[in-house]
Amino acid sequence: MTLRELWFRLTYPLRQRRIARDLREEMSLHVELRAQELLSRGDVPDATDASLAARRQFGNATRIEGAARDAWGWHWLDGFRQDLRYVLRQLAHAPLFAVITMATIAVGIAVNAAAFTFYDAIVLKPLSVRDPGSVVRVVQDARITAPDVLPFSAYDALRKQARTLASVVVTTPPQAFATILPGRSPDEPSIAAARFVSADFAPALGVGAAIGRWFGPDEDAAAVIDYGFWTRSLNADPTVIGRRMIVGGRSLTIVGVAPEQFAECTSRKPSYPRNVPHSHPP
Amino acid sequence: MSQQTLAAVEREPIPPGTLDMLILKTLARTGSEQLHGFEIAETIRERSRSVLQVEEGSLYPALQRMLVKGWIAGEWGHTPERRRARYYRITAAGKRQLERELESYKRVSAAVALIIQSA
Repeated sequence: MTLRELWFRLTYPLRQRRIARDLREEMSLHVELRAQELLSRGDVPDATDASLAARRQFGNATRIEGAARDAWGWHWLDGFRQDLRYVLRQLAHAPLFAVITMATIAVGIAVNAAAFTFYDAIVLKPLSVRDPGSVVRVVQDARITAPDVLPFSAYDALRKQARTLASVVVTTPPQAFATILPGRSPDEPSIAAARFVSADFAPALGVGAAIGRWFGPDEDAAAVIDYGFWTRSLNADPTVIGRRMIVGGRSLTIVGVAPEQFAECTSRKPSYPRNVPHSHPP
Repeated sequence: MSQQTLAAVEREPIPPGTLDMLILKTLARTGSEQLHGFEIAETIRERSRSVLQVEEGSLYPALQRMLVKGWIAGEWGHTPERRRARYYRITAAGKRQLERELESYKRVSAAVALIIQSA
């Protein structure tokens, strides 16, 4: 197919009307000339008969027009249009079936979208830390124990001896604690998940705080709260900074709220990261 | 009726696959003189001594197909009776196509002739 032909075919829908009109005009001329010829030869008695005979000889004009239209290679679109109209008509006749079909498709799409969102948040989105590419996670052989859980001595050895790592941070898995939120009476404890992190956790990963700050190395009784927890359980109240809460029997000062993206991107997120003394295991 | 006047000649439909070639050849022979659809059909009939009958049902789709292919070009003009008509002429691409079709037609008909003669 030459470029010119391709261009002709592609622009056909724009010129479709004119092309059809031209075709009809030349076909009607043909019939007329044939009628004149029949009449002049004396084959038919009058003009009406001549025109009838010419038309009969010409054949089905609509079918011929259709065959000529097929030359442009767009008949699949006509077929598609017919199919679409047919489908819509059928669906209109059976509204219940239509609704159930649409609902089924909608649910299918929604489930897929939700599954992808989840996968995206956990696997595809980079950690919202300063330089995700330079962060490594130390795990151990899953055949021995849970791969995420390392003995404290391993952390200690890594911290002291690793030369290719700028710093080594550690966190416990999240654990459930009886918690007394700021401003609540000690009689109404709630359950919250918390994890201990090493003091250099935030500066090493380059994580900031949504409000407040992260704790420093010398603060033993400080907590940073998770953004989701802050909005759900504390009504996003900014005045909780500096107040105290009881977590697992220890009184901690809330010093900051972790950034929203930080909570979103880690399924095992720190709910209340709490300072852990360097010297002894949590 | 026309059947009676033409009774002397057995009319045949155009052999399948040769219509494009016949139209192209007709247009090539008329040279600068351009023909409209009816004239093309009539010319083919006359040149074949009324043996070949172009069916209108296949003539116009064929013309349209060859327009798309760029083998012929159409131009609107007027008949001597002042009727608007589309006049066709063969293009350079059409001449090349005609050469190809003549070549293959000659080969095939020579081969058919060989078989018929040997019988």
